[in-house]
Amino acid sequence: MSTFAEKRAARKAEKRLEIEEAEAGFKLNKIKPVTNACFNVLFAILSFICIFPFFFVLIISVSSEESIRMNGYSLLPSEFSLAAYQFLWNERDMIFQSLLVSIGVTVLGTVIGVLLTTMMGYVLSRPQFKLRGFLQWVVFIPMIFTGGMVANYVVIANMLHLSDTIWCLTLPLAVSSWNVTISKTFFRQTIPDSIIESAKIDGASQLTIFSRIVVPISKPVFATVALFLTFGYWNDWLQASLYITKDSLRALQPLLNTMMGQLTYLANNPTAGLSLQQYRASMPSESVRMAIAAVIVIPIACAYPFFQKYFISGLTVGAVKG
Amino acid sequence: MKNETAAVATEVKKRKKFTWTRDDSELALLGLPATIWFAVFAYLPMFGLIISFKNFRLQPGKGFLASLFASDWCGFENFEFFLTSNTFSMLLRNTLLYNLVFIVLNLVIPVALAIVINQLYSKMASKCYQTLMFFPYFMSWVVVSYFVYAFLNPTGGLANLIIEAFGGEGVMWYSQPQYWPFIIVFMSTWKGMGYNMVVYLASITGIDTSLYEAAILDGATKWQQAWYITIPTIRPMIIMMFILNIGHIFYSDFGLFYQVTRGIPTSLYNTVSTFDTYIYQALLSNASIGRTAAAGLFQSVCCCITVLITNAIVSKIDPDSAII
Amino acid sequence: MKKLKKVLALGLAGAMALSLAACGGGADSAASGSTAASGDAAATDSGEVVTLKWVMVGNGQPANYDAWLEQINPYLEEKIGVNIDVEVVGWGDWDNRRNVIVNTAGEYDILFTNVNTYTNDVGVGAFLDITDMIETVTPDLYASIPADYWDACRVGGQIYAVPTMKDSSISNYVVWDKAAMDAAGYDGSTMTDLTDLTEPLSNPDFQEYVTSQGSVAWPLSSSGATYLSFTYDTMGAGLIAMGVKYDDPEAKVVSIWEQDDMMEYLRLFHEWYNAGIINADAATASEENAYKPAAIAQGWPSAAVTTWGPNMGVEAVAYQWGPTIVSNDSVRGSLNCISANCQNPEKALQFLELVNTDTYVRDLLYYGVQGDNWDYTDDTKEWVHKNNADWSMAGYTQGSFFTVTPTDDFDFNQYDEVEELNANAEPSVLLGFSMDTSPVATEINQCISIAERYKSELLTGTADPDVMVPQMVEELNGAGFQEVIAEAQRQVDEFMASNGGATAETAE
Repeated sequence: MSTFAEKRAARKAEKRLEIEEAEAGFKLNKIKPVTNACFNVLFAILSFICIFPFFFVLIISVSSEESIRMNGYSLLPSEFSLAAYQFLWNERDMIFQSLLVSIGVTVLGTVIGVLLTTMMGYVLSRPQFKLRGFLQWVVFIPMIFTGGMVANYVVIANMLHLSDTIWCLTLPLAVSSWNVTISKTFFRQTIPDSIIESAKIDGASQLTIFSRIVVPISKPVFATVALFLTFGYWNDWLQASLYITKDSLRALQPLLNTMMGQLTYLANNPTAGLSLQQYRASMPSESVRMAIAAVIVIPIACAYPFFQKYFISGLTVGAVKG
Repeated sequence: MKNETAAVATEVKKRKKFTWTRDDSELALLGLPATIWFAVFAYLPMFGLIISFKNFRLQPGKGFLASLFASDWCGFENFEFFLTSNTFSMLLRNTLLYNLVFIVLNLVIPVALAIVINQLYSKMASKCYQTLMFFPYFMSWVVVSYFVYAFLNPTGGLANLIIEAFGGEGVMWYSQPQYWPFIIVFMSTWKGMGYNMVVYLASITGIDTSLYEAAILDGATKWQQAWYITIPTIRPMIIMMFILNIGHIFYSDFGLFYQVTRGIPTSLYNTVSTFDTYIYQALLSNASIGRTAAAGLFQSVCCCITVLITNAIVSKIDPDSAII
Repeated sequence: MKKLKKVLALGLAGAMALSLAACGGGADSAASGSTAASGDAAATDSGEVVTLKWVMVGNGQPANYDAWLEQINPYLEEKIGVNIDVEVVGWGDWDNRRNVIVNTAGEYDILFTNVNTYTNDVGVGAFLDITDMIETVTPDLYASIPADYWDACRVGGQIYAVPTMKDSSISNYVVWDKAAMDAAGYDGSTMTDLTDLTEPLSNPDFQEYVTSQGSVAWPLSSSGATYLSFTYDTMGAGLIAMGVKYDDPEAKVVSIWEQDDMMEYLRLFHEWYNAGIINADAATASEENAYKPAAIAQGWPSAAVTTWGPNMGVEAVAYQWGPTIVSNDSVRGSLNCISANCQNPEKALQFLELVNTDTYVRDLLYYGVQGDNWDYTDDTKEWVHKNNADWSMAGYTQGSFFTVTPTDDFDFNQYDEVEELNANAEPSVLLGFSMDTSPVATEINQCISIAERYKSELLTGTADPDVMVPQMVEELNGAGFQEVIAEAQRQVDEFMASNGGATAETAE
């Protein structure tokens, strides 16, 4: 009991020290107030440019059908309407289910992906590892060559029988050569070889070194890889369109993609005649599609600060000193 | 620190070049899960590359693999539809030039922004800007194309309304090729800015603060700190991102070139067509998986050559930053 | 902690290794075909119930699918000893999903397909040749569909698909917003040619009315006026610039857009475009306006009341423009094919027969769960009342519209009109002929990419056809257009020599 309390107190103190150190470094390094103001203006403008289209999406989602028909997509709709959100609310069971799937897939995939990616990245970052050259090629080749959609389908659906499971949405995207290479470069930059060497002299195994030393001092690496994976999973719709037939496993992005695809399908099949075209009336309107687009963006954009808080400086120093 | 690393590396190499140690076994074990992942999800499907050289026919009563191996070889027939096209050189030119511009801008702008955003007084504001700059990344090109259209629409688009308000004459944006290289480059930078910044941001925060402290004691200015400490420290990251991007130089973002231009109007054809949009249009009807695979393989081989050359050059100059 | 990490890593490695081993075995089972597709009922003769998997496009899997299975499966089991399992793929997922399941030859017994992919997939060998089976196994099905429509499904002389009897012949209608016509004081019924339309469309009163509705007189999207060339048979080659006029007895393959009638239309549209009758952004507008004061649409006479009017929210009137034609393309708007790997092709065909001839099966497929989505209005079962619009299967992908019980929304069955149109449709001279594109595959793919590029601007009137058509043709010729035409002509001549007489006979 006492050890636990002690540990916690020690950790707290350590954290305070870290923050103090970081702040001290930061204060020393301050830019001039005028420059700061200029930079703030610059970023305010950039942020505005980035967020503006999203406002536009929001505005379309609250424009009335009538107003879209008369004026097209306009920044100032002549008439507002919450019909799209009314529609989504009526479909809340489906939307909520999709949101859960999106979150579930993203979390599970990210956890698996971060583990596999960073372990591999760490291994590749060890210069004396005998298989390093070989594994680097193993990682490099898939970055350039892929088997294509049909071959992937054969492996995942016909050989591994993963269709209609959460695994077909998570496993295929868990690792990418891109992320492995990024994490490798990160580890090369942030982990001094001296720490590893001294830990080895103390008799620690590589597993221990990875979990006890590398993980705590490389939070930015993990946060970056996790962020990329999270975004990748959240935005993905292709896996679902290939492997998922059950609606209960359809995430938000595939849902939107299916809706977007409806009008394309109608346009591509002019010869199917009126018996097809009559389904146009039952398809969701522009404002509904935009409302879904908005629903997709907001949760994930809000997740960013969660990852960002791990971008903390001064960790390496602390670890070396300790 | 770098010299130290290199020294350790070479020393270690010299000392135990051919002896397999416990350390190696442990590292191999750590790398095993990902290696297995690569074997299953990346290497196993590579039989798909064979489709490029086959005249694929399903064999009665057989599955895909058996049919694939039983199908006739057809040499390079599947490659002809793009290799012999009159527009082939134009497509390659566009794809490569756009990508080169993207690669340069995607390095310079995010690195600069990452350095600058770290200097802001308010961490709160910095976080807020970063979050907002991520929004474009989550909007699919289809959604973005709606927005661009609302802006550039010849009748009632925002751009023309502004021009006309200042007494100018409206522009038929979708039939004026001279504007589009800029629009495309702008949209691409806009969409990837927040995303590309993250790597450098994470990388910069990982820099040992004692380096800056020492520099300040020596009286270094902000500019000198950035130039002599920040950039050299994150150089491996910059070079790696550069090589990774080169690895996609023969690919193009289909949504950007096809959807943002609203399906590539004829007058813009020579300006905004890339390899991927051509493949899409040519295989729109009458598609076969052989041709699709052939186009992909062609891009892969070209990229592979480019990356290996780049990597070779990099490893001559700075062996530590090469990715292989 | 340390232990946990170790265990975790080992566990992961173990799981991966297992899956690797699993796929080693998987390769063999994949080679032995998709036996699993047809369920575990291989022994059909012993009277066991066979489960058939049917994959179609639609609005996604219905929410009350299980309840629906409980209604349809006992009925099917009793009738023909079949259970079905339907997979409704969402519109947006269809292209990818269809692509993988066709090329991997598995997971389905019956697949919906259409003109865009039919010939190509037949070429890949995905579908079963049912030419003989339809006559011997399912004579009722064979009899329920006219010979012309079977012919339209022929590829290389063989039939691989059961066509869906719906508006399978093309009749085009000029659809007007009646209020706009009234405002300008015109009567559309007297206008038979597109040139007649210029006058009302440019009438100031008409213009004023449509402007007040926020539209132009003749709104178009970037897919353009594809109907302008509907009298040409494009032979399933996927190249919109090449075809044969449907009533040309010599069956001469021509460059469609250079033909006089086509040029006339394109010039007329360009004139309309310049006069502001067609919207200025037509070539780049990705979505069609829901409301169109005037347009040409494919359909049938009463569709003005049943579909076009309600969809636009106005009263619509429609008058036929041009002939009613049955061609390969029009019939192939909806087809159902049996997998080449299907274990019980006879059962599958019997099932399709039931879908096309049995009213109850057809109603269940078309309207959904009886008692939930719909009900018969009374015991005569002559009318159906739809309780909601939740059923997500797309009726047009399934089977004949002429066996569906009509809804009580209208006091007539609109499909009677369609049936009549179909019966009186003029067959294209090339009905039953599909071009084998493989000898000129490279040239065709190049030509397609060129034609697709010019399509939007020409078919919306945006470009001057006298400038752009020659430019396009020159570029097409550079890509081997003439070789493609020559090859098509050679195949057409061959077809006409062997089949021409037979086709003419069935046309009578």
